[in-house]
Amino acid sequence: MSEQSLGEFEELVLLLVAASNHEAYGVQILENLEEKLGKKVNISAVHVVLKRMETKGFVESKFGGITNERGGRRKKYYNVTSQGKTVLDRQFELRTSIYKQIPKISFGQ
Amino acid sequence: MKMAPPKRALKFLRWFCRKDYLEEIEGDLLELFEKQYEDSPVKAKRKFTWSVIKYFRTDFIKSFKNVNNSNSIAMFKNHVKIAWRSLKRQPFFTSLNIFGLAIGMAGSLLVGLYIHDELSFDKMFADSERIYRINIDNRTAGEESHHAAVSGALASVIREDYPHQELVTRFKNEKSALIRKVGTVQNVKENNVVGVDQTFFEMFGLDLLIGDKSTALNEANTLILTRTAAEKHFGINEAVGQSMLLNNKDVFIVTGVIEDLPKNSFLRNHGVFMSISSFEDADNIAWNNWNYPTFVKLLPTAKKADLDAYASTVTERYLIPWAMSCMPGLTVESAREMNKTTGNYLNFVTINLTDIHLYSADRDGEFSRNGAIQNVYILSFVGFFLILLASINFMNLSTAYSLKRAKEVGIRKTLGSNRLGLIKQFLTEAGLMSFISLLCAIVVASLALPYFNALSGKSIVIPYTSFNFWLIMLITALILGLFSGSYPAFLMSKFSPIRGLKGNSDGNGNGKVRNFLVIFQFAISVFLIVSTLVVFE
Repeated sequence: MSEQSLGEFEELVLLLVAASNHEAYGVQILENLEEKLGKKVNISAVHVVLKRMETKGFVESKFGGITNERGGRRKKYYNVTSQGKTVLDRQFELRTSIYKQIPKISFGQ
Repeated sequence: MKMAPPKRALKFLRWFCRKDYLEEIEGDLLELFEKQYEDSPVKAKRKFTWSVIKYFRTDFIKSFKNVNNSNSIAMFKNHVKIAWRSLKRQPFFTSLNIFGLAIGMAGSLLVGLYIHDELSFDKMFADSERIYRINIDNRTAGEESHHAAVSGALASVIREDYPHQELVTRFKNEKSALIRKVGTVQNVKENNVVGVDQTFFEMFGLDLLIGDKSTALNEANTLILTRTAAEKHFGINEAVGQSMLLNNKDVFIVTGVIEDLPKNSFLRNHGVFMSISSFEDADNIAWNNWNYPTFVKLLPTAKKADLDAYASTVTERYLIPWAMSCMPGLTVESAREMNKTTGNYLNFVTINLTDIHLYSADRDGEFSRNGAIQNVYILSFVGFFLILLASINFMNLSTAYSLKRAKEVGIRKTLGSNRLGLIKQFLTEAGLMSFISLLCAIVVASLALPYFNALSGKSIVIPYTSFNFWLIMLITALILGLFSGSYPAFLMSKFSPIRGLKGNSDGNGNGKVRNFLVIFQFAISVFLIVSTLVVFE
């Protein structure tokens, strides 16, 4: 279970990776996150969850080509694995199924 | 204008960060930096440094194990293997060296245990650090005397007007007594019979095995026995309620049995404890007969200095007023005057219970024979030099055999081993020998312990179950191995490969040091013999 579990922040990052379709790398994810969340996030936090999810097998990564940007350092692109996708699906199902159980009456009129 | 991220932060990142993550992290940091630089260079730099610091966590730090140490662990294993082989190849040298070291270690171990025992005296009693005995230092008619016992009246005085006392208890030493069970004829001589107050149990935190400690010593002519004494006369379970005849005249009832007192306590020799009310002079208010060793337990808040200050007033407040009743014309002032001219004095002084064994050697009325702190110091030196001697012996033997290793060193150096590697190899060898010696030393010490106990009159046991004991042993063996191995290791690793391989090695280089070591060895031996004689004087 612990292998398969996903924290809130992890889930967000994983969703962004999945949504970006092979174009996700550190800074891009960070900027997307900041835009969606509307608050500042440190790049190290992004890297931490990326590395953890890579060990768990939810994402895979490969280096891009050498460019003149970034002082010649290659970008590392992340992509969601099928395992990662399964986890996302399960999370989504779980949430929607529970969400559906919310009785309308709870909200009064 | 050139955009450059803070150099130190980058250097730091490169120093700690895992190599496989570094490029990605650096790249992302730089990209962010460049973007922010356009807004504000200062902020960008600050942000860069801050981010680097945030990366300093276990996820990103280089693993110590995988990168650096796998090799050194493998080397260490190899060193141990090689060391073991070379020790096996020279059985005579190895056994001689291990034997020498083991004997030295065993000797030091015994000395260490002895010192530990000496220092542990009376510490087993609960609150021993706030129990004090009142002593008397006296000089009358030019003759000095030191007493462990005071007047029987002092206890009640302290109880009444010393606010910092929690408990006071008195003993009365009887030395020896003839004892027999009522109804038998054969007397048994008990050597250490002592009278005790009812507060005895509470003062020293003792419990009765059989009997009720709140009433056991309340009545006159009652006594309690230790387990050993009870077994000698009756058997433990039968003892309570029996009558005993003391010195062929007084009948005492046994009211309790206590556990034997520890061998490292001041009461170790005592077996029979009579209630103090059995003594006719127990309530005597005279201040001139000093037969009652008196112990005071201070309140946790009180200090020794308080008690000292109080004790120094006792003479003038109680002893002299009492003396005035027998000596008309005596006043406190005239007594002071008299002491000044004659140089006589009578002082009440205090000693902590745990100090009695080592710092109270020669007082009249001591319970048992005490030790002396000087002997502890001398023995510490003996123990230290004993092990130093063994260590130097080890060095001499190793260097004497070093020529045999010259060829090995030559080949190792030819194959590219550096000096540090060789030093590590030889140190490992010394360490291994040191650990084997340690095991031998413990065996030797445990075999010698009964004789050692007989000689020293102690009942020391090796604390096999104590974690600290093993920790100290292992650390000692490690230090000893490194120390003893250091000189041979540095010497042997110095051999030049050509000479070693040719086989004509130079015998001159280490001659002086070895001569010095031999002389040093003899000097220590002489010193040890002399100091041993001094201790046994």
